[in-house]
Amino acid sequence: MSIGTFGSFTQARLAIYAAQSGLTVTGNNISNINTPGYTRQRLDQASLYTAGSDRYYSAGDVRIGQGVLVKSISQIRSPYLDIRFRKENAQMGYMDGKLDGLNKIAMILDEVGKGDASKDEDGFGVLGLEFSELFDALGQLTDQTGQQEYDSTVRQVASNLCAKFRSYANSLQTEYENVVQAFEENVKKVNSLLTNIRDLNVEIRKCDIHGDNALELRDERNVKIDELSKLVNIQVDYSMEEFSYGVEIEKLSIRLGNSNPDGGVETDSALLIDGIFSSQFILEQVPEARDPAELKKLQEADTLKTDKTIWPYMDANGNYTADKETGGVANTPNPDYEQYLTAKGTPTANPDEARQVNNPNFNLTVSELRNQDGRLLFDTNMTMKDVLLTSPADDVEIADLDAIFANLAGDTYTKEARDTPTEKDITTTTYRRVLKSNPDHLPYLDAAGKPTGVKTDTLNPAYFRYVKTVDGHPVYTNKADNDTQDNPQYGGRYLDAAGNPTADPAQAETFYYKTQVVQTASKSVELDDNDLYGELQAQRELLTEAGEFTNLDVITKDGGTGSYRCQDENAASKRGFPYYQKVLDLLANQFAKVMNDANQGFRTDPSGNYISPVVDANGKPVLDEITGRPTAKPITFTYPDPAGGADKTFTLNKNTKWDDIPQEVKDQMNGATSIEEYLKTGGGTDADGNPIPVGIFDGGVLFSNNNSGDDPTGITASNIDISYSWSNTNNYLVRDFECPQNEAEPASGKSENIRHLQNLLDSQQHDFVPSDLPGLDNVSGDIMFTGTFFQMWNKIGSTLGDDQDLTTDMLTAHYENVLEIDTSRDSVSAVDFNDEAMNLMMYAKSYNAACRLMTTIDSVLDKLVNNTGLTT
Amino acid sequence: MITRTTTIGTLKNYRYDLNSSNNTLAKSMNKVITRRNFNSYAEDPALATRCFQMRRSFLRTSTQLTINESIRHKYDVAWSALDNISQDIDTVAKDTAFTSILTGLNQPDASGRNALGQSMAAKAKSIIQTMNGRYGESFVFAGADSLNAPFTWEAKRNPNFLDETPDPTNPDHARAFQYMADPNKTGDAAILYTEDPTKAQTVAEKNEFYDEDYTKEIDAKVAAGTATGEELRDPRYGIYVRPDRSGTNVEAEANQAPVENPDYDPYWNCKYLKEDGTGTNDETKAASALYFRGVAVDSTDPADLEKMDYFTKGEKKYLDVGLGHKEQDGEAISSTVFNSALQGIYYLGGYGTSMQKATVGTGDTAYEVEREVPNNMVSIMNRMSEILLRCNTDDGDWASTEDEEEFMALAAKFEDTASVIKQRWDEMDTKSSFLRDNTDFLTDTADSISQQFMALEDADPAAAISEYMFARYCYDAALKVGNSILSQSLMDYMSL
Repeated sequence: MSIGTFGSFTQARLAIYAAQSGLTVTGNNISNINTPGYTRQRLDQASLYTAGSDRYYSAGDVRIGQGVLVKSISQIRSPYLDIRFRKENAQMGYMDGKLDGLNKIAMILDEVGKGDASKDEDGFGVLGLEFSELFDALGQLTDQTGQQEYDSTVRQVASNLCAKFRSYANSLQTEYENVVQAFEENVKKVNSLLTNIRDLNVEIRKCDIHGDNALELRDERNVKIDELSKLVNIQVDYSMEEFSYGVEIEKLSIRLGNSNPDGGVETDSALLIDGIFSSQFILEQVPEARDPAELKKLQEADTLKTDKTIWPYMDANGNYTADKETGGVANTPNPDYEQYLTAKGTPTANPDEARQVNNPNFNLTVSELRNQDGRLLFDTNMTMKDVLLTSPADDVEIADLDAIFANLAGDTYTKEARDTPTEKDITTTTYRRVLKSNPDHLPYLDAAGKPTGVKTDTLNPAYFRYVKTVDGHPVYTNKADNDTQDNPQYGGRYLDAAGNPTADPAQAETFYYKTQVVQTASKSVELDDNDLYGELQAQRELLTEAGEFTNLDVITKDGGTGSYRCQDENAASKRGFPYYQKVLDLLANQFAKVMNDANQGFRTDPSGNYISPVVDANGKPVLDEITGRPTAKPITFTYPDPAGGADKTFTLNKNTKWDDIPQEVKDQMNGATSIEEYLKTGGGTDADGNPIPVGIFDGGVLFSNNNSGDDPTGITASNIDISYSWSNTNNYLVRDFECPQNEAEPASGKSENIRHLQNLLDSQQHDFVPSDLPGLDNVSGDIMFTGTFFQMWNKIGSTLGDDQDLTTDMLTAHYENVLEIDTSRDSVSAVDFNDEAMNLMMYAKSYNAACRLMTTIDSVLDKLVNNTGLTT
Repeated sequence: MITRTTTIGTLKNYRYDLNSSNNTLAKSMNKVITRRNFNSYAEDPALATRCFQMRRSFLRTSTQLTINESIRHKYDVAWSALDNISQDIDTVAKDTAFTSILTGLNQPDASGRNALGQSMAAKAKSIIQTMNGRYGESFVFAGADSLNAPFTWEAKRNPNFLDETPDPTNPDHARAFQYMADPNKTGDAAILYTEDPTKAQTVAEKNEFYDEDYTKEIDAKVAAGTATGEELRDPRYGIYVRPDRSGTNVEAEANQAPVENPDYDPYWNCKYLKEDGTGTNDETKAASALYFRGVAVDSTDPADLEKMDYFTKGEKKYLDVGLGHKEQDGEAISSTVFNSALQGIYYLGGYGTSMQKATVGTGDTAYEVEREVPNNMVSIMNRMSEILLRCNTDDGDWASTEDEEEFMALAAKFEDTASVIKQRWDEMDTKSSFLRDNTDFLTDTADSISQQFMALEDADPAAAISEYMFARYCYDAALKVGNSILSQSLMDYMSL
């Protein structure tokens, strides 16, 4: 059919409309050139052509298109590039987050270029410089031993060194807390993004239902997904879901991106978004635990084990203990063990009363999926279909059903159930009752007289319930009326259990069929330590990874223990704040231990024999007549020769081993069980019950866990300080343990021990072992580094530098990849001025042409209508 | 398919590139400002680690240099002190009176010996003053006891002084009893010694003038009946003496004398000894004795000698002066450290005493003697001065032959010890030289290390500035490019 006379106007109108729409789309593209996430739009138009032949179609006629039709506005987007972009974005996010954290640590620990620049060569570094200054001060003291100003200098430099340790530890803790805050903010951000995406899904779904493409909403959703992909590695899937019969709409699902290197883990693909349902990330909270070091101190003080609040276990005899098992038998947890802290900081045994804090491992859980109304997402699965219940296996169930169906009209019974109060899955069970039918319950009899369903001339009397007499003949029927009577030949449509026909359903043999449908509720998923990737994971690793200080269970045991959720055999090489805090603690602890040990001991004579002070009858020290100094003598025992010879003597020497001491000598040592014990307490007790030492003890702890005491236990970088005694005693550093013959004090300028301290500080190689750091459970006992304290400090810096360097390179690579992919995406989806200028020109020309067409048709029709055939 | 270059994509790329360019500019600017090649471990971990280690070596070397300088100065002081002492010794050695004594000449007025004695005493005191000199707050020659003056003059202690009631049963108190006790007389077997001769063990008294030949001659006369009473009363006769002091060969006729305690010292209860060796409890009357760190330098007591051995051989004050400071079992390996302890007693010739031979007199009357004399120069001079001051003030005669013999032995020892002191002075000179060389070595090492890490750390100004200029040029160009990107598109050429 050709176009009608005025059809050409429609053709021109459609053309004008299409050009107008094209200009509008172009205008929209130009307007949104700077809108983040905007995807350029395209006008989809088609030639209008009415297909099919009409009844009066003339073969000679010519079919002409009826103009242009605007079909839709679509986006130009590449899903493949989106996938690549988001994968790369997660990697960039991870490296970005990691580098940000490492830079924060480096701001504190990286001493390159720091220090007092005015000192030039001497002013490089801060903590490292303090080590050098302590070495220098000790060196000066070896030369100027006994000079108080040099002694004070050592003390002051040591105090400065401790202050630097504390300062670094505090700064690390502050930055750690900042990262905790940033991590918590990012968890909130992820949750906000998930909620936003779900809400956008709802809106897009509505638009889809109404036939709207919702392009702008999709753009917004893509922006949110891109943002999410930086924080968490995700996998985005689009699928179609049936909205109503024959109508499908798009559904967007987002899962975690299968990041866990352990292929056996499934939690790394947890569902985050399923259409209009979304989950949330939940940061696990635990009751705040008491300081283990404080508890240990209390336990050590409670020698009789009477304080029930400080012991975690009870043995079989009801005695409190700190051990999980005694003699291979597991102990029972002590319910009175106050292992938690309330919000007020008081101990409590009740976890519900305790203040809730983040799990130390910052465990995350993906919650169940809910829609905007808070309804759970259910997944429907038929687990059983029309299964016959049999005896005796289902006897109880059959008996119950007998009772139910006895009072039930109909042959089906359905029930819904949740197995437990907390179980959200819904199980719907439908029972169908079937009565055993009589196979002979058929209306006809065949020629042989057997019941049949095939119509014959002979009715089967047993099939009919009633009978009446018509014209003297019995007429069988199943419809009762005033003339009918019960048919005595009626056999019944059922068979009873004995196989006899019966008309009573209650007598019939009964069968039950069962169909079960389970609606599985969406469930929360506890994420494994390595399930995430992206910025969130980077921050989590910064907060949890302890490198060589990692609990060995995490490295070697599947499933992990304590607060850990997984095995990670690479954990020992991942280093976050905990590593740098602990390695700094280890350095401070080992430094304090080595120096403390070296500054304590018993004095000897030049031969290495332990000496004892010489006292007069009143117990007062006997002084040398010339020098006025106290005198001493080697600790020597005389004992009978077991072989019967002359009496023997034995002198306690610093190289003497306990096992080398003859029993006759040990018998004279007041029950001491070691040389040190004898030297400390072998002199019996004084009037106040205090032990009297035999040897001459010198020195004491140089470094303590606080400045108001001399407690060397649990020293860390955050608490190390010079001891109270050192800070208040001049010449507290032991200059030497060796005294000249008969003297009780070393020579005033003797400096062997100070030289030894200097050597320990600078030249001596020390083994740094993670398990030596107090307060850590089940960490490696292997040597992580052997070197001087300064080398250890240098190693901390270089480890950090290496990690930063590598991460920077990785970040740069990933950033460039992201940029490249994003540029590729832009090459597909972004607005370009040249393109749009071309479109502008094209649609403007089209518009002009359509208008010209309209004018032409108008002119033609004007001629036709107003001027054709008219004469004036 | 040709990639579709879009305005947005171009802008994004430009933004990244401009940022990179700006970053490069900032880095090069930072290098120029800080004059350093790197400012964090992350920029070059291996190089930063190396530089830190070199800086540590530099600081260690600086400390060693400071210590080395301190010791060197101390050695300079010590060297000067020994120089002064050598001059003092020379002065004494060249004293006319001294040389005349040694050459056997007597001056017309031998009273010069007293003056020499006074001079020697003064020099001895002077030497001790010098040896008690300090460097800073430390006594230079005090060994490791640097806060206490090493040498002191003390009243001469009596080594046998027993400051408690003597116990006759205690062998350690033997010096307080003159006789060996006789248990039969004391009635107590535990009593070993006694002061009461009547309770002492007795023995036939030997004739101290016994002459065997004479006794045989008289015995022959006695046998012949020709011996006279005078001959028999001759002190040379008889192995023993009778109670009437006449001689006899019959032990039973001999006088029964109490047995002397060989350990008996009549001055056991005197705290001090006088110059003549007798005892006194008056400190002012006691002779002066030199003590080094509480030990009498001339003591022959094994315990004192052991302590002196420790001071001079065992006591060390090891310092790290860059010799590779190492330890074994917590003790310094001596070859890796420097012992800075200067034991004054060592540099004065030593301690204790030794036997010294000397020739007394000249010509045909000359004879050789051997005397126990101090090893220490100051003690030698002090003892010589004591002897000289005892000489007759008018003619200079020796107070006794023993004095003369002892003086000659002391004089011989004086020369030997002066030689020893000079040797030890040379030893010190060698050590001083080592310290001077070590100063140079450590200075060079520090300079070398400094140059090494500065070469690694410090930016080459020319390269850094060139790098900065180029980065600036690139950045400026990038800005210009950006301006072009934003200004050009088809839109600009569309006609209205």
